[in-house]
Amino acid sequence: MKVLVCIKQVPDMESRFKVNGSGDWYDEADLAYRMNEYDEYAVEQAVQLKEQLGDAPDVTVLSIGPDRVGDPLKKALAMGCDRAVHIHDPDSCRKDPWQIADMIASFAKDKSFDLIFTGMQSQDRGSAQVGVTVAELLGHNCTTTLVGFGYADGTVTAKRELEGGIKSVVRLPLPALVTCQLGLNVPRYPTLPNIMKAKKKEFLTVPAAELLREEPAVATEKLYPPMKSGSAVVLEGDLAQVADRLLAILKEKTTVVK
Amino acid sequence: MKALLVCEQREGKILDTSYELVAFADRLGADKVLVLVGKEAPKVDAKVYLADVDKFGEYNPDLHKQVVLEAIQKENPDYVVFVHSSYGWDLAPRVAASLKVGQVSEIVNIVDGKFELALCNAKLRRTVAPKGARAVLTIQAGAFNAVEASGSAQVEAIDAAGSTKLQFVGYEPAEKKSPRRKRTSIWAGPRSSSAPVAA
Repeated sequence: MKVLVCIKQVPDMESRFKVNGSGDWYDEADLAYRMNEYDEYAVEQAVQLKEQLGDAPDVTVLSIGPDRVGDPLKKALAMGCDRAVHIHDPDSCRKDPWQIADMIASFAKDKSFDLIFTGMQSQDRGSAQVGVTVAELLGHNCTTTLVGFGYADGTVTAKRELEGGIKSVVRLPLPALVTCQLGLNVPRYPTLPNIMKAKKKEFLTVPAAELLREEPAVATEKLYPPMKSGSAVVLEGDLAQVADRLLAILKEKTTVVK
Repeated sequence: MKALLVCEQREGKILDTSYELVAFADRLGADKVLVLVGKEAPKVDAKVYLADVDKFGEYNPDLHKQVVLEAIQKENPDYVVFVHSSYGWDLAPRVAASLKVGQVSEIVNIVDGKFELALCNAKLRRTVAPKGARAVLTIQAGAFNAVEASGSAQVEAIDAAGSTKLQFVGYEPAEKKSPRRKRTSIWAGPRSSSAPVAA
């Protein structure tokens, strides 16, 4: 069985973000980067599957981005993936999800991956498009938002998280792509021996230009900090007046009350 | 300008977010047509394409995609709009990829005719515009106040051909009690698949 895990490097979401000079992305200086949290669950699930099947699956981890993307790829290798593929693209932040999916599909199309894991979305863009689009481009069966995963006899049994805490259970045969939600498993910390072993694993770099076939389908016009919300309003008067005023505000400004 | 609104239902009940789609189309100033895989049409003064849920399944994105594509062929909309929900983010990219058009995800506002999105835990905002004449959009649930469910839909049955290998098994209800177990051990070391689960 051949397994692919797609990961992304994102800034730490606790960072203070500033708009860059050209006004179309955030300033990357002084940001700390890490593996997209959703993708950690994807890596862990692929490694757990490898352990379940007695090391049989061959797990490739892939990421697109500049040189710094090597760090999360090495972490994934230390978690248990067999080889890493770095699609080198210093300008990946300006690629839209359609182009990112196209590059992944272009890499994967002749590799016969049976199962592909991705995070449900990235923490920075949050578009939740890339995984499903890759599945469409490759013609794989696909389901999303996994909080439960099982595999037996060529069939994935997936538990999807829906709104309101409800879950749905679906089965899909290989080849398949699944996108992983937070809480699917408990991602492991790489141990020191595994970090050392990871240094000897295969690490392939592919220039993005060799894979990119598509033009962007969406253009960013402007990036800016959100408008500061108004100052606090103090409601005064008797209880009934305050309640009526509060109700009116909630109706006007939120969808809490209809 | 015309918007095809892809509504949602669960176990026979139309989700309220479907009326947020109507509010979004109104904000956009678009003519609206709705499509739903379900049993009953939403209460709205517009045309609604209704596909039989018994045939197309409660959740089956392969078949639901074919229904949406069929409605697109009939209506030729500028925008195909979903709620950014577990149904919408699952189905919208499939439709966008089939049409080979751009998708704008989780719109929170419309600013000067452009779609505004939140970025990096809503610490930044950006406006985007699709490059083609047609686009797939998803709107953030709660970002557009739902219109009242009232009106009389012009319901038209819709059918589509398609095949699927995906099998919907069923729903599991939300857990009423906390799944946390009683503390049986304290684990202070690194997490691993063999580590005891922290209580």
